[in-house]
Amino acid sequence: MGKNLIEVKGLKTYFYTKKGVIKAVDGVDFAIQSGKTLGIVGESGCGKSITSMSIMGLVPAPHGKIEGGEIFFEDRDLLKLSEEEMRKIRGNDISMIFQEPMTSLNPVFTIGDQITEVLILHQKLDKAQATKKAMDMLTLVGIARAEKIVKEYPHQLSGGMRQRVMIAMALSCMPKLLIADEPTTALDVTIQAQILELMNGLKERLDTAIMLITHDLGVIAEMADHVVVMYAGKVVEDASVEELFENPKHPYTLGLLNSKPNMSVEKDRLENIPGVVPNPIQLPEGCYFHPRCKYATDKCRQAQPELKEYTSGHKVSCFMVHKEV
Amino acid sequence: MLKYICRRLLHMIPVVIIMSICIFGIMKMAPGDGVGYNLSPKATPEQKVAERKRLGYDRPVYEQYLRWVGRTVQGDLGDSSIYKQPVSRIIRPFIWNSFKLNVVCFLFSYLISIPLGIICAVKQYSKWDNFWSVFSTFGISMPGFFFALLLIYLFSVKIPLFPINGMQTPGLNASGMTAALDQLNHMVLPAIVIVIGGLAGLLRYTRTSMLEVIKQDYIRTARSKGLKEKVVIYKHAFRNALIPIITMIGFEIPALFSGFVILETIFLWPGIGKILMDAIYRRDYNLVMALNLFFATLTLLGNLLADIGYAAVDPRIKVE
Repeated sequence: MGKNLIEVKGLKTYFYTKKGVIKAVDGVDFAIQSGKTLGIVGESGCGKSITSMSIMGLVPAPHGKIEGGEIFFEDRDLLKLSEEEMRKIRGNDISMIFQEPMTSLNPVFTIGDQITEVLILHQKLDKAQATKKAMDMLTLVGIARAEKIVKEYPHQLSGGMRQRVMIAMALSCMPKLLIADEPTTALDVTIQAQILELMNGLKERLDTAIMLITHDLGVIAEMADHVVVMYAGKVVEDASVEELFENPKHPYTLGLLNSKPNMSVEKDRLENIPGVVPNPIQLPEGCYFHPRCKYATDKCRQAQPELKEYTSGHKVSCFMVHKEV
Repeated sequence: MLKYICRRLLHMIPVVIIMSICIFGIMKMAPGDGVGYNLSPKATPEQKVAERKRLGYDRPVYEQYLRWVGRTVQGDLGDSSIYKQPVSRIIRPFIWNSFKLNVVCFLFSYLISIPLGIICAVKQYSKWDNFWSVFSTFGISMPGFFFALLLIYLFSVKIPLFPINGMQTPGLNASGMTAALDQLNHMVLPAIVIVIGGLAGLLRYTRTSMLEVIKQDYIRTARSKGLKEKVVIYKHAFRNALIPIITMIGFEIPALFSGFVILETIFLWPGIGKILMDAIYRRDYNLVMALNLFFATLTLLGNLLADIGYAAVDPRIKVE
């Protein structure tokens, strides 16, 4: 086992609203090693994106607040850094690409302006050097005619092209960690495959760790080394990608895997997980998943299971699983 | 770009013609004419008919209109029936006076309200934001004439800081800097009334526009690059928020040359507002038509400027 690049321990990010406190992220632990890809899976609203915003230090104030935990990045606790120090990490050591390539680029600046901005800021390049580097990055992400694209505006590019530009921008300072928040969700399937392949290739070349947030298990299978499954702000299962697909333990993970079409088995209907994601203000007592779980017992209704090691490197938070052991 | 501007300027010609027909028609439909002002009160009906004939008011309306157009195209705006002088000579100093006051107010309104609007949006619902919300409502609701009188009472009568009215100190025989400073001193009170009245709308406009932009995904992207909050707000967000504001500035251009009738009356500011009102009341056709033509053209030019400004700040808009 290599050294962890980033280690999140007991992260709690809460939102204070008029209706009550939303525990968007409620005690999340995971770690990513250099050059590896961690997939974070879960339904909408399970706290995936807020986890990434917490790492970036961009939880929207004043409603959102990090209430506890530690985020160690290269042995420094990011939560203890000043805004100034955090800014030096953002875009330089840790950078991010977002779900919506159509709206994630500023419409009034050229592609070149937007990429060189990071380079001038963090790498202290001058305008000419930065422009050259920006063109190199665009070529690296598979954009032909880079010298033309740097002068164009985002509205002149397609969605797939814009996501490539976002990736070029995010990787231009050779970050150690790239957070990709649903990077392919808004793209056509063929473009999705291209973008994923591109990210995988660049990861190898630049030795960047990737934290890949998605709800698409297909993407996880293709990209991730390790997977964290989140539900209602908590990690419910944490395993290597092979282990998770071969030996899923948590009923929620099982549900997610079963709701995925499988070409080799003939089935009329896809299975689904009954019920909906719980209201984050009024989470159920006991295990948050019990109202939707077909194996729920009285114990599940009363107490919350802990995330415990099931086998080496495979952690699950479910009473049923740990009883077996 | 140059081709586009030329084409737009050519397009303005028919619009100006149609507008002048409308204005001329409406003026002529109003009862009475300015003939009485040319004659003594004791003039006989025969003398009135003769005078009307001399001015050509007995001719059909279209003929009068065409004759007026013919003159105007040659650069002759005719004589004012009130002032018995060429219209061009009369309006120039009054428009200039209004313009001086308006430019000062225009600059201050924008210089104050845009930064305030941005800060209010960044600190939405803070004490600062709430204060300016209340202040805006106050500014909009306060009638200008009342506020003007209040300021005169407080800062000219009770505490004599500023002159009560007028545009320069009577008898002051100065020129250059001294004269300019004297005029500025006379401008303070009317400018405060106009700026506070106009501040509210502009401030709210900027605030709304900024709030809309700050929520956008590309602002999150800008922050994730590690940019300073100031750069995020004043470069990435403001440049986008500027788009609707530019349009508004374009529409404001004609207002620079027009007058505030009530405030000019209260402050005895010799501007164009009161001149136009008098001209309308007394059917001074040449004066009214000249001013209307001037404002119509300015409005169209303002629209053109707004469109050009629009294309300058928003690359998604092509003027061609």
